[in-house]
Amino acid sequence: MTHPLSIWAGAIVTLAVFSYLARDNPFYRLVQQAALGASVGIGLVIAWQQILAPMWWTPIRTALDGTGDARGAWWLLALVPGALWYFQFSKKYFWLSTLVSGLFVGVAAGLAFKGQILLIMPQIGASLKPLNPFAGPEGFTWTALAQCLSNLVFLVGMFTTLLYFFFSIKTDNRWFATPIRVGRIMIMISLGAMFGSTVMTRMSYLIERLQFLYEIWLKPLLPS
Amino acid sequence: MTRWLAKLHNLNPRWLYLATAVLLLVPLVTMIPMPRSDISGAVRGLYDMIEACPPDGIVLIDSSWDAGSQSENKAELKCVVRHLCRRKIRFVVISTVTPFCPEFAGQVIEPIAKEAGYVYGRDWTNMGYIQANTGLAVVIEGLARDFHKMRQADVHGTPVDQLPLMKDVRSIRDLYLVYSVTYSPGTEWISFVKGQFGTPVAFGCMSIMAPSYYAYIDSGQLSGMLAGNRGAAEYEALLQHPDLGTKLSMAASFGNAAVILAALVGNLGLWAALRMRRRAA
Amino acid sequence: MRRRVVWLITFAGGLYFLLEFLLPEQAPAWLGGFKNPLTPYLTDATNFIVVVGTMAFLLGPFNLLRGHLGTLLRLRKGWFESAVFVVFLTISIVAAADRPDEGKSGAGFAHLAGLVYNALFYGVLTAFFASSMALLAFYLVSAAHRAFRVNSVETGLMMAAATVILLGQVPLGDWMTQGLPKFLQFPTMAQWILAVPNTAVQRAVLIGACGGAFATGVRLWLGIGKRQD
Repeated sequence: MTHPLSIWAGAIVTLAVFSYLARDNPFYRLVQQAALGASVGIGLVIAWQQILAPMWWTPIRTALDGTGDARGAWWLLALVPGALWYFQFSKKYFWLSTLVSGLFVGVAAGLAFKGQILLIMPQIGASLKPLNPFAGPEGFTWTALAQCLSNLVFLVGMFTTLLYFFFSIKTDNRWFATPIRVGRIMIMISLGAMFGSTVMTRMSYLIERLQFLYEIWLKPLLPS
Repeated sequence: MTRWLAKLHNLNPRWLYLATAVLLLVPLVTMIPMPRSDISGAVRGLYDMIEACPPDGIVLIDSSWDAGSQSENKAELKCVVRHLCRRKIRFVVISTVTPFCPEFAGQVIEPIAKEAGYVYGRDWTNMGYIQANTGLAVVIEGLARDFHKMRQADVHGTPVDQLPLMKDVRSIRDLYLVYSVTYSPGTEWISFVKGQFGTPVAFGCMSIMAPSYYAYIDSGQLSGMLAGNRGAAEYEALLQHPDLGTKLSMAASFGNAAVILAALVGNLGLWAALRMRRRAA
Repeated sequence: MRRRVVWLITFAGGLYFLLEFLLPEQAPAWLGGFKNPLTPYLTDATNFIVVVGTMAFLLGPFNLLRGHLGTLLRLRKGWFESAVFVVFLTISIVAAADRPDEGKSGAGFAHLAGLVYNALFYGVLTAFFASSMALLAFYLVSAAHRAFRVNSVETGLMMAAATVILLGQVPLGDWMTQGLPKFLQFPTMAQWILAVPNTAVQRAVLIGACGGAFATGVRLWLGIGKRQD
C-alpha cells in the first residue's frame, strides 16, 4: 500500500476518474476497463483460494489420496448442481440452470420466513411506549414529561405513517384527511433525515479521495 | 443585485465542482479547531458493551467493506479494534460481501494489533471471506452452529484447528458480541444471531443507512451503532484518541456546508430569475 | 414435467429450512421427546449451498470475456479498451495466484507478483471504485444547486430536517450552536429527529414491508403466479 508504485497508480487512476467531470474521455474509459479486468481477475483467484479450495477441493483431494476423511469424496457430487449454472449459456438446455437457481430461491424463501418473524416481533413489542409522566420510579420530572411527549410524537408518527401507506383509505375521507396529512409530514421529515445522511456519505467518499491525493501522494513530493 | 443573483441560477456545474474540491481541501491542509461532539446513545451503547466484556470474552467482527465504503467503514473498524486491543479482548474477523474485504480488514487491524502486542492466531484471527451472495442468512446459520465446519482455514490457508484462538470458538454461543461493519449491515445478524441465540449485535454502517437502523436501536435488538465518521469520531472521543474519524468529520463540516450553500444559492438564483422574468413581462 | 421438477426442488429447499425453524429443538415428553432431526444437518446443508453458490463464480468473467474477446478478435469499435480489459484480467490472475504469503516479501517472480498485485489492488482497483463513488459528491452539489426547490410546506420541512441533520452530525453544527441551551443545539435536535420521527416512520415501513416480504416469500416458495421453466 505504501509502495510508490501503488501510490502513483492510485493517484493517476483517481485523476483519470475525476477527468470524467469535464467530459467522458478515452483516458477514463481505459482506466475503467483496467479496473474491471483487475477486479474480475483478483475476485476469481480469491473465490478459489478462500472458498472452493478449502471447502470443496481440499476434502476431495485428501479423501482420494488417503490423507483425510474418506467422506470428503462425497463433495465430488457438488459438481453436478455447480455445473448446472453454466447451462444459462445454452438456449436449448437453459431450463437445467433453473433447477439450481430454483433451489436457491427456495432456500432464501424458507429462511426469509424465519428472519422476518425474528426481526419484526420485537419491533411491535417495542412500539408500546409509556405516555404517563407520573408513572416513573421518581414520579413526575420534566425529563419524564419530555420523554412522554417524544413517545407521543413517536406513536402518532408510526400510526399515521401506517395509515398513509398501507390502509387503502381515500384521502378525501374527512375523518382521515388530517391523520393522513400528519403521516405525510412525518414521512417528509424522515426523508429529510435520510437525505441529510445521504449527503454525509457522498461527501465522505470525496473527502477520502482528496485526503489520499493530498496527504499520501502530493504532500511527500512538496518541499517541506 | 437581482440580475447578479439570477446569473447564479445558470452557473456552469464545473465551477461548482471546482469550488467543492477547493473547499474540502481547506480542512485537510490546515487543522481548524472545532468543539468536541456530544456522545450519542447508540455509540455509548457499543462502547459500554465492550467495556463490560469479560476478560475471556471473544468478539466476532464481520468486516465486509472494501474500496467503495472505506471512507467511513475504515474509521469505524479502526476505533473499535483499538478499544478491543486496549482491553485485551480477543477477536475473530470474517468478511461476507466481496472477496476483497479480508485484505482491507487486515490492512487496518494488523498495525493496531501489532502495536498492542497481539499475537496472530492466539489473540486474533482473520478467517477470510465467506461467500454470502446466496444469502447472508445461510452463512450465519452455518457459522452460528459450527464455525469450524463453515470456515476450515483462515485467510492465509492455516487449518482452523491449528489456530489456538479458534479452539475456543465453535459456535455463536462462544461469542460475546458480533460487530458488523460494512456499507449496510444485514438485518440477518439481528434475526439469526440476536433473535435466535441472544448474542448482542452492533453495527458500523455508512451514514446513508443509519436512519433505517434506528428502529433496531430503539427496540434493543442492536446494542450499539457507529453511523459514519461522526460515530467513529464520537467513539474516538470516548477512547480519548482522536484519529481518522475525527479528521474526516472535521472535513465533512465543509462538505455539508457546500451542499447547504449550493441549495441556498440555487433557490436564491431561481427566485431572482423568476422576479426578473415577471418584471420583463 | 420440467416445471414440476423445478417447483419440487424450490419447494424442498425452502421446506427444509422452514421445518428446521418451526420444529422445536426437543419435542415435549408426551410427544416422544425426540430431537429436531433436521438441525444436525444444518451446517452441512449451509456449506453445500455456499459451495454450489460459489461455483457460479465463472459466470460473470466468462460473459465479459466472451464479449471483449469477440470485439478484440474482430477489431470492432472499442477493441483497444477490450484489449486493456483482457490484459489486466490476465495480469491480475497471475499476480494474485503467485503473490507471496502475507507478511513475506518472496523472491524472484513471487516478489514481482506481489508488487504488481499491490499496485493493482490498492492503486487501480481501490482508487477506481473509491473515486467513482466520490464523483457522486460533485453531482450532489450540482443537484443541490439545480433541483432542491423549497416550494411547499412539506418540502420546506424536508429541507429543514435535512439541514438540521447535516449540521448536527458535524463539528460545524456544534460550533454554531454551542452557546444555546442543550435542547436547541444542532446535535441534540439531529439526534431527536433520528430517534423519534425518523424511527417512527422506519418502524411503520418495516412492519408494513414484513407483510409484503411474507407474501413474496410464500409466492416464491410455492411457485404461485410465475413460470418455473
